[in-house]
Amino acid sequence: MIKLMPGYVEDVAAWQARLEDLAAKGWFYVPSWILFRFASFERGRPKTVRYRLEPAAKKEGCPDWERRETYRALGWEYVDTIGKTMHLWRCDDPEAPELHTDPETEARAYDRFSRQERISRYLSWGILALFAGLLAFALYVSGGTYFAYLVGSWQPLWYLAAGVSFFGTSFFMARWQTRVLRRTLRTMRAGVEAPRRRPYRLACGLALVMDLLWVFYVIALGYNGVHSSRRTFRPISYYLTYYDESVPYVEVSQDGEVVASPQENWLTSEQWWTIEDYTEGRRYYRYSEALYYRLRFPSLADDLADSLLAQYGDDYAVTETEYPGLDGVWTGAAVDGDQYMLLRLGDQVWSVEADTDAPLADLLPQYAAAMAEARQG
Amino acid sequence: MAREPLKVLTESMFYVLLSLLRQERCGTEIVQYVDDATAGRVPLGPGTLYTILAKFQEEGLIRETAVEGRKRTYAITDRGRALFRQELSRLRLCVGDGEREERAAENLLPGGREEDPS
Repeated sequence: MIKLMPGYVEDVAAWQARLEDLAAKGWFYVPSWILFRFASFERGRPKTVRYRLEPAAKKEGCPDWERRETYRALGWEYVDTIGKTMHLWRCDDPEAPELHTDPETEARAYDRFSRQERISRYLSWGILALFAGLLAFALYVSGGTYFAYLVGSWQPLWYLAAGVSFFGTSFFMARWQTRVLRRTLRTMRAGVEAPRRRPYRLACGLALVMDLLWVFYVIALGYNGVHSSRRTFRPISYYLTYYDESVPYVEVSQDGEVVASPQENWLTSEQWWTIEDYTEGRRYYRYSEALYYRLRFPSLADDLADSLLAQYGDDYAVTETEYPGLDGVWTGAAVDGDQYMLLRLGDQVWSVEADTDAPLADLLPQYAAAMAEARQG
Repeated sequence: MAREPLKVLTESMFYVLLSLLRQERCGTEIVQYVDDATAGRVPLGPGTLYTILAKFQEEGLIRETAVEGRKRTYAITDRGRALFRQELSRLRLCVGDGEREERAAENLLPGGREEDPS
């Protein structure tokens, strides 16, 4: 039978209490290759037994025979070494001495843990600082285009929630249980016997939540990989027919087919990528490519417009113009004649690139009408 | 946390060193000796014993002398003896201080005044 354990094995008192309570109900721990925060148990006669966890020495797979013999002579049987860090001992004799009878000495057994914990803490802060540095560097190198990349990437709210909640819960749990261990060690170093038992229900619940979030996160990562490599564009009539969703678009060429693909991102309530293209024989032509964003937070529309201008502005020599009914309009043309236009109205931002000789600004009335309609809708 | 060398021994550590003063012993013999010597006053759990033995070996206070089957024997080193003597002196000082204070407390009159020696 598989049963949930209270988080990390370093939460010694909670683990011991959980094991002893299960033994009292007739479930006894057996070594197994169970992943996550679960452990394997076998049925037996309910019994009051003591379980004790003891830190393993460095590179010590399991206690040597001589040590096991001595422990056995004093009433303690070796059960398992959990996570290569803790030896688990079991005692069925209520008269046998405790595994550790001297709190100060017991605290010394955790010296390696304390050192590791300190190294892990410094390492975590180092990694965090490295990430912050890399992010700052990426922002600096991107020259302001990072926000456009962030909004335009496939990152739905649930995907973000999966990552944030998994890492958040893991961090919280690790901090919490490290604090418990530190408090226990402080008590022992002061020569006071630390509690052998601790409430474990909350830790078990959190461990379950953490495992579920981990599974959710792995699925999200897999789905992200599949989704990113298979982006499907469909004719815009498809969305109206099957989903009753209208796609904001303006035909640039009147000649090709307009296909669209919705993009999910937690910063936008609606996002569409539309492409107008056609094939002539074996040649493929793309007339236009438009990115339509409706931001969840309207105050970010300006930032997105700035970011998009940083991305396209240089190639298209973009200049700002005005058009009634729109909050902002920027147009430009590349050296090869390709056109670019950026429009903003309230929480909507529309970025259009087109391979056409006719100025895109000629189509401003249609774009403005489409944005006004979307605003009302 | 840096490894701290032992400066003061706990009661269990003291008795483990004491058990090895006259002869080499294995784990169970050490436990038995401490139990007899203290009439059960100082219980020595196996976890405590092996943590102490590991720490003592790390500090060079004891050394492993023989491994016969599943039996490992330990002996005290010169460094161990020196630390034992140092601990013994410290304990003597503690006892001396305690006894002096106790005598002084017994000579106090009610109200905290000292007895007139004349």
